[in-house]
Amino acid sequence: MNGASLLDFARGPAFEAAVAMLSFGIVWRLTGILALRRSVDHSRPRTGFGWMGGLRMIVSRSWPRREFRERVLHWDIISYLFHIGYAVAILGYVPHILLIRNLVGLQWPGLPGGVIAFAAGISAAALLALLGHRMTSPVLRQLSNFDDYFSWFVAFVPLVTGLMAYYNIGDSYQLVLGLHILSGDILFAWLPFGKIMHVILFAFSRGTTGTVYGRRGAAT
Amino acid sequence: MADETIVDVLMRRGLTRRAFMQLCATVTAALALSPADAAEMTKRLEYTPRPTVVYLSYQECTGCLESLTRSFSPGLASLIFNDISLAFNDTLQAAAGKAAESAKDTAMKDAWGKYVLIVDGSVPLPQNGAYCTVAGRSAVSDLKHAASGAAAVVAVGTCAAFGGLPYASPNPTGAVPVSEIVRDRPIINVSGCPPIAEVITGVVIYYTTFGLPALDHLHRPTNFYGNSIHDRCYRRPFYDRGMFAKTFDDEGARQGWCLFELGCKGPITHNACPTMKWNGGTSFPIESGHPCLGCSEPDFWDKGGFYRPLSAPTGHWSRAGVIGGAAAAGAVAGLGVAAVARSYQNRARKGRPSDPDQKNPKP
Amino acid sequence: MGRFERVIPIHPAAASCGTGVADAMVREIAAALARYLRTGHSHVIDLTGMPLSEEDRGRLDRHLGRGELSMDIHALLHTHIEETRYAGVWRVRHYGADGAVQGERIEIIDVPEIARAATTDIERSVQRLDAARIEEGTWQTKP
Repeated sequence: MNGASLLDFARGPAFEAAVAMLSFGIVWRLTGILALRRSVDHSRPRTGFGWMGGLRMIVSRSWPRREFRERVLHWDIISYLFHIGYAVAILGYVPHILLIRNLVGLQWPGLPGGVIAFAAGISAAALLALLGHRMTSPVLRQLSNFDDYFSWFVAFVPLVTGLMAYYNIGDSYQLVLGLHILSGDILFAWLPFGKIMHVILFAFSRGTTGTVYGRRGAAT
Repeated sequence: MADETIVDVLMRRGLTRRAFMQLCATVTAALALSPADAAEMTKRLEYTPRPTVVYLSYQECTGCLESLTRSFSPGLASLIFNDISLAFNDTLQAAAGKAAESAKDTAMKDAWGKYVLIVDGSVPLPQNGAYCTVAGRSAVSDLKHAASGAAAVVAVGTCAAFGGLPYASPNPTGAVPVSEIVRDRPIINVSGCPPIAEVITGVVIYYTTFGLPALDHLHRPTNFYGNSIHDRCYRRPFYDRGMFAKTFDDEGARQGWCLFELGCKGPITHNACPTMKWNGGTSFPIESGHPCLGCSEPDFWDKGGFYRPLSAPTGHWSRAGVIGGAAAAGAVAGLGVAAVARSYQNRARKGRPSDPDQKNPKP
Repeated sequence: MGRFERVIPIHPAAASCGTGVADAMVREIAAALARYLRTGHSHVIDLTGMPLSEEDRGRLDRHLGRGELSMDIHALLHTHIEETRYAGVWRVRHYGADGAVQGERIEIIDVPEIARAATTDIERSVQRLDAARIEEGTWQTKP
């Protein structure tokens, strides 16, 4: 398959399938989880506004508690660098905005290419550092399975191919662009089925935990 | 006359060696040759017998020939193609019918094995090639015959090089590019819809003096098709700065900003437009405010729309339909999975000593 | 304002800034001229394919200036040859029938090659002159 046909495939049928899988997967997992029977808390509620604890925890869990800060804060910062860089690259780059406009009709102003490349570069470097940490930390290594490494890979490849396309690295721009879009398709398709689903589930899991804690009067 | 050189032809027209030097200077300039190569070409042109060029047209619109005959300096074009080398072209010549066909046969017989065959247009294969016939002969058998006596084949235009418009989906005539039919001769693809006139003449002259030029993976000469439009585009700084025209009449369009959002295919298109330009160096499409259509690339008609940005998905599927349909299917699947899970939950709970489903006793 | 009266002005951003090409070219000319004096090797710089901005072109024109001699050749094309203010540095431009520049070069040589009468052309002129004298006994040449 040459660059041109790969690009056509990535922009055409592969993208359509990826969007369908993304939509299907997100709704499937959300309904599947939300329709589960929740265990009943037999204790007496300490407050009638447990859900407020849920809302608070969605925000408060975004930063490590004081007790853990010394040990994990630098990794949290690196993780933020990755996430913010990733978001800037995805949502700020005009070709990406055009894709979103074509898909759902929304649009917003973009950022200069240099800013995007910088953000993507930071993001890629942070992601590499996080992989190194995952592989060297004995605890994280125990906790990691195929899903973690595959999700890392699926997130990393679009960054690298995107940067390669931007800087015109590689023999054929068409091929690199095709690979970039295809890797984006794979990210879309994989998102709901692996740990990358945290982009949506983080709010639900924190909210649920926070509500339970709030009801019990624990700190959220 | 077979060994007549270009200098001889000029002399016969009453011109001096200066005319030959003018010709060399402009040709080497158009080919962007290094000074050493330019000197070498001048030396070789002086002694190289004039090439015989046979120009055959099949499924095409004559746009390539228009490009060739209209936008080059008339003196040079007529010199290169009328006086020096063009032995047969059924569009340009005055002869018609039997006379034309016999002229073609004579020209080919005289230079059998040595002539340069220019093919313009794609060739249909089904029904024994019945969709395109010339003088009662199918294009495919005509091409096979002509190619067997050619030293090299130059496929001029995207139709001949990659199938072009006739090849576009659903390709009703079963058209194929020249390279699908001619397999045993060197093929130079000079793609474009149409190609730049200077590129067509340049390739022929280059071939006659130096032989086959360096070709890319699509058999296009790299000295003309080596760079993408995007890389040589004077609007590139606007792309890098994220400044895009959103419509054809907004402020960005007026200020000459990048046309990526309007569907420019410059990043994936290889051609010499930004440097050689069109109509005697006047401008090229992007300079005139229109996005590049990508006409020198294969299947440019089927790239999902000329005005659709390169990053946008192709295909005419309903965005809401696919997203909504998949979401509905996801909801059904999710509810199904949840129902199964709930039944497991129930079974697990039944096994416990106290029924956790029972509500707390009210305090 | 009517629909068809509306004019959409387009101001393509011209590369207006100097790229430094002109300065590099002047250095190349100086080196080539010195070499020509020393060794007799002529040199040609083809400007046709060069990405010169208006600014670059202006700088080059101002720097090279105009010399004493200019020539015009009317053959297949119209060629205008102009000496620069530096002896031995020539500007040669070929114009098409429509007046568009088909080729432009700077030559470093005593007289541009194209201006010299070629030996073959001189030979033919001798033949023509002889033929004219023998046939008609006049100095007139045949058209």
